[in-house]
Amino acid sequence: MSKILQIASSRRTWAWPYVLFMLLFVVLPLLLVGVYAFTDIEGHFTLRNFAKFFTHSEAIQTFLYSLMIAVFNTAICLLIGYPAAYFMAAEDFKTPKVMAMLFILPMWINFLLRTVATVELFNIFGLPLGEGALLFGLCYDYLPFMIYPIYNTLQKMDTSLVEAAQDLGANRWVCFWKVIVPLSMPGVYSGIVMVFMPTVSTFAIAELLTHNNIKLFGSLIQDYITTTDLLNYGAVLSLVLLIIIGLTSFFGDNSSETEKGGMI
Amino acid sequence: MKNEFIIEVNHVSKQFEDGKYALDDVSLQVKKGEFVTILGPSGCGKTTLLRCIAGFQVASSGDILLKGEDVTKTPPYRRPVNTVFQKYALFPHLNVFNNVAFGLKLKKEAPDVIKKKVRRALKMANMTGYEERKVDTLSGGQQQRVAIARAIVNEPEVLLLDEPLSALDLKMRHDMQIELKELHEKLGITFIYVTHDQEEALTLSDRVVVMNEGRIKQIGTPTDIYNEPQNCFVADFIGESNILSGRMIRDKRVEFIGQQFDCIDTGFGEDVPVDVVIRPEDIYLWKVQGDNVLSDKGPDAASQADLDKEDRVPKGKFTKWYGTVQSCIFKGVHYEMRVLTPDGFEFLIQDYHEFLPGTEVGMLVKPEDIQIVKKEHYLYNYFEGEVTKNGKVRFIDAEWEVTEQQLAGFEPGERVQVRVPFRNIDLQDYEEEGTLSGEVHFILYKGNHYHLTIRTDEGHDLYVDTNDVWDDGDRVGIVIKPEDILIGKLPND
Amino acid sequence: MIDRYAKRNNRAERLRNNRAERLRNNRAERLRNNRAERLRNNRAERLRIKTASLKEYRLILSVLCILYSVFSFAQSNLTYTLRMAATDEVELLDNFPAVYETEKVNIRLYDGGKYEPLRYDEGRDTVDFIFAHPGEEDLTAWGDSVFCYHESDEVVWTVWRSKKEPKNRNQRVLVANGRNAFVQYLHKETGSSRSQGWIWWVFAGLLFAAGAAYACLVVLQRRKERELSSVEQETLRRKRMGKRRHYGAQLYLWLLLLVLYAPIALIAVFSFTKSKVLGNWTGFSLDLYANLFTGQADAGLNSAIWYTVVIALVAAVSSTLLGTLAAIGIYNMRARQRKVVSFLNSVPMINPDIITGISLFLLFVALGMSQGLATVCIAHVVFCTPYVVLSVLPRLSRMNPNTYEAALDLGATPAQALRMVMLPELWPGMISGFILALTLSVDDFGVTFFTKGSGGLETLSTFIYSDARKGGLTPELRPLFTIILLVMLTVLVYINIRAAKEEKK
Repeated sequence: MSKILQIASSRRTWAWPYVLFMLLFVVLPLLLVGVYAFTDIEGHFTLRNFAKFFTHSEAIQTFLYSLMIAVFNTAICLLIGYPAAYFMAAEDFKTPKVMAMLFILPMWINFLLRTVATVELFNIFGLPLGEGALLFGLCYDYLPFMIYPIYNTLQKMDTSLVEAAQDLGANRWVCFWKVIVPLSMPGVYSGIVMVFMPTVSTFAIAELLTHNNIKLFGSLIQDYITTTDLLNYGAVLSLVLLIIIGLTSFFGDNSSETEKGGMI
Repeated sequence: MKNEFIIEVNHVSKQFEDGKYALDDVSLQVKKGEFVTILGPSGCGKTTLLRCIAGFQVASSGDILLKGEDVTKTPPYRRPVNTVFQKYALFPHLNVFNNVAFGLKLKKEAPDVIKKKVRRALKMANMTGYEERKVDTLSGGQQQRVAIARAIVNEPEVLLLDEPLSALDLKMRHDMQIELKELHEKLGITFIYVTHDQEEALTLSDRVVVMNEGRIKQIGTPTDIYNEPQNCFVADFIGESNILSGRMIRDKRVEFIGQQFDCIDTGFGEDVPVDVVIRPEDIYLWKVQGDNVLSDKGPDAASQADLDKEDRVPKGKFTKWYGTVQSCIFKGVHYEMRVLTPDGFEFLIQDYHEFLPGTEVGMLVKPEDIQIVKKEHYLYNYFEGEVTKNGKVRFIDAEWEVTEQQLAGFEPGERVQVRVPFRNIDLQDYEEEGTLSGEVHFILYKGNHYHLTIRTDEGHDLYVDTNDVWDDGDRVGIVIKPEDILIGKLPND
Repeated sequence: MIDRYAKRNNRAERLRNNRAERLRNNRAERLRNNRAERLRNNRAERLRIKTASLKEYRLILSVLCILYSVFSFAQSNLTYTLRMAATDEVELLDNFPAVYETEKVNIRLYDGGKYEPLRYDEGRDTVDFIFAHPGEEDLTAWGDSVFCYHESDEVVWTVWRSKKEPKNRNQRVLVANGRNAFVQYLHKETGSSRSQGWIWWVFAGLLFAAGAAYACLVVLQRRKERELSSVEQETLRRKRMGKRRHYGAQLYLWLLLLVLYAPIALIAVFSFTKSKVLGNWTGFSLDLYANLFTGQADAGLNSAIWYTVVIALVAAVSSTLLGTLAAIGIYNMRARQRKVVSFLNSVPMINPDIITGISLFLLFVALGMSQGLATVCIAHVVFCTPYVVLSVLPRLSRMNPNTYEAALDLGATPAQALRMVMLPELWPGMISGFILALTLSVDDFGVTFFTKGSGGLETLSTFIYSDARKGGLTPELRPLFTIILLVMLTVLVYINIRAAKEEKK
């Protein structure tokens, strides 16, 4: 009898299989990246891989270039996405709710296919496939990730706050900058994280959009990790990326994740 | 009849995993057919007690007997009790009929029996005709009735009600109170009712159990609880009262606000500090003509003339005292006045007559209306502490500076007793400014000062006397001057 | 006692009804009155404004029509130029037919300098062809192979040909010129090749037209307004102010949507033509749809679809089970434990695909597991489950914690209570978690790419990737994703309509 009660009251044990699974397939692999980064092919400890990275100008340059592209892309997404989210969420614009859905819908089309179609579109318009195309394509792929969290926070915002601000004498403009923008910051942060992280690590999109003329860090990692004897060097590059990701997610304070979950 | 009690709770304690006690040695006996209310502020452990009886929580120690049978560790689904939950807890995916029939279906009763019983229960709860409705389309009151029907349909021996009316609005609550009372009479089963609403408790129950901080403060009939509170907490929690620090001179003689009064309480001993409780409606007021107050013969003689005119005030040898009306609020049936004495004591008084602010008034109280209550703590906070190496004293999880002469004769590492007077603890608005930070936990107005209980973040209680106004839940910093920390030897026990 | 209550209830109800009815009546009447009055007052004004705006629309339409006809005429006279970046001479086989410059295209060849070596995919690559003399298109057949040599490697090129003009895909273009053929590589430095400049003209024209129309409108309206009374002018002005803001926002959003949907629209439109190359219209045809459904499409595509479905189902089902269990567990944990586990839960969500993919790849390498279907499924469960947990958890916390206890209280054993009370309440969360897992799995590229191994396992994503790297897309992908888009659109619209209806209730 008491056993039954025990099981009933200790439902927290139900998470154990999942925790075990995560330890094996999330934590252990991440640790392995570190292990591989510090070993050579035979499995001996070495720092040579790191030494190679710091003297490998192509890698460093690609890395910095990728960072720059990611920053640019995030900025563009924010500049384009914030107004869109605001227009959709604000009461006075009377945007139908379906609009928000329409912005998410393209994500159900495979992004590679969309990228190929973008390339085709550039061809039709006779535009060159270079940095511009890369930025356009990245922005195109990740814009919904910026719009949605901002839209979510703005929509959940208490409208009485805006009314209070107006009541206290703020005009539309002041109200926007002093009330709406600061209150939407959590959404902006998670949007930034959700756009920046995949952009900095992207590899397939850049390859398709520029016919492999522009190499991003992701492609570099892919090249090395899939080459058996350079796998350890690939692990170093992954570790560098992982550090960047860690820093970014620290900045985003994990808040982004719930937003992504609510996207459906 | 071997045992007249249907429920016996014997020395039950419930300790949570963080070490805090939700229930601390609680004992309670309930007779068959009784309507018992457990009353207390939120977080006092009343719901925990109910959940222990229902079986949702298992007591850490002590035992619970149902009809003389130990059920301390019996799972809820094997207990002959049913619960009405605070937020109804109806199954949202089932309609009204299936909600009520839930328990019967589990018992595998025949469909026609189920139908009959459900209909009867719904009729009992005045919810006939709602069988096919989805529960989320019902109003709060209707959901509450369904929840009651769902519980009583199983014909439990005991019905547990966990603040069932707290989510309803005032009007609805009053109606439901009457209905519940009638239901109790009709069913004839035991009701255990948890609430934080004293009016509800006094209206409904045969007996009231007042709880605070996991302990039972008083058990008694509603009239007992109101008229004869056994401690300051009950006096303050139930109804309104004037609570004053006083001193028992001898049996039937008490001193407070600097005057001696006759009373009817005995057995406190001689020259013992006590608390005095006077209900606001028990103080008689009469107007004193301005000139007479300043009379050479003293206010007593002067106002006798005024008093004699008032036939509603009892005549006799009562101790009288005087003051000025500060405020007067109309409360419907009566007026509520705050009267300040020249010595700075404030009294809350209710009277059918209006006394405008500024009026000089005389006051008296009959001996039988003076309720003497034992003081739970007096003047000093007592802690066990330890002298640290750097000449400080460590108690309640913090290190405090003390004066050197206090430390004289104590070795570092020695266990000592620390005394801090209630009066000499400073509370700061900003918690960072204090050596410790805590929260105002309980406020008692003692006529001319506030008696506060401060709970530190580590969970220790400090008593503070202050003239400053604080609110329940205020965050404060606690400062004690080195010279106010008195150190002595640990009492040998 | 009940009688008394019944009576009281009746009275209360009657009272309530009466009051409601009275209120209703009053309100209706008031509304009616108001409406009539407003109508009377405003009709004149509204009529005037309406006619004015009607004329505006007509004006815009006519201007647009004129402009369009002008530009479509001009377009036919445009000439094309193609600038080549770098040329590489290729020897043609004897049986390669002679091809000529088309009349329409003026080809200038010049040496553009260095270029990067070509990447080969499995020694087989596709080339965009070709400039054929009108009337001689049929001399080379689709899919003909020609041999060309590059740095002494023998490479087989498959000839792909456009029937009309050569389409510059900014890729490798095989240009045949008399006896010689050239493989062209176009680089970003040298920029655009043949520009379809007319599109810009159309855009410029449209803009100009819109501007002109607006100017006309304003002039016309100002003239009209002068005839209106001052009060009417004021209302009109206010109305316009409010609307302009509104239109601005709407315009922005629709423009953004237009850009977002342009590539997708391209895919959808070109799913109705047979051409192998996206962007090349060879007449309306449903052949691609037919191919897709009769399984005549590329064998690789068929197996990719099959694997995608299998992997998605396996991953979604297992992650839903695992995630729901985990969510219940996490919900019942104490704060500190819960914090740790939710952090663990968020790690795969924070990690970009490439990191998850690489780390799992390393794990499988280290464990010596052969990569294939099993590893891909595990990987997909890894990144799907956190989302299931996140969609079930809110249901749990929204659930009244007492309902489970209420079930116990009414005599249900914990297992019964779980089945009869908890599960029905968690169901929506589980379903949405399942759907989320499905879409994530289907859409995933990065993780699959690194964990699929080299055994030839392809999902749709990786299939598209390798296809695109080869330079073309299997045409049947277009109808496939058009169908997916339509299905998703229908589902979303349906969900939205239902939500709106429920909200109204």
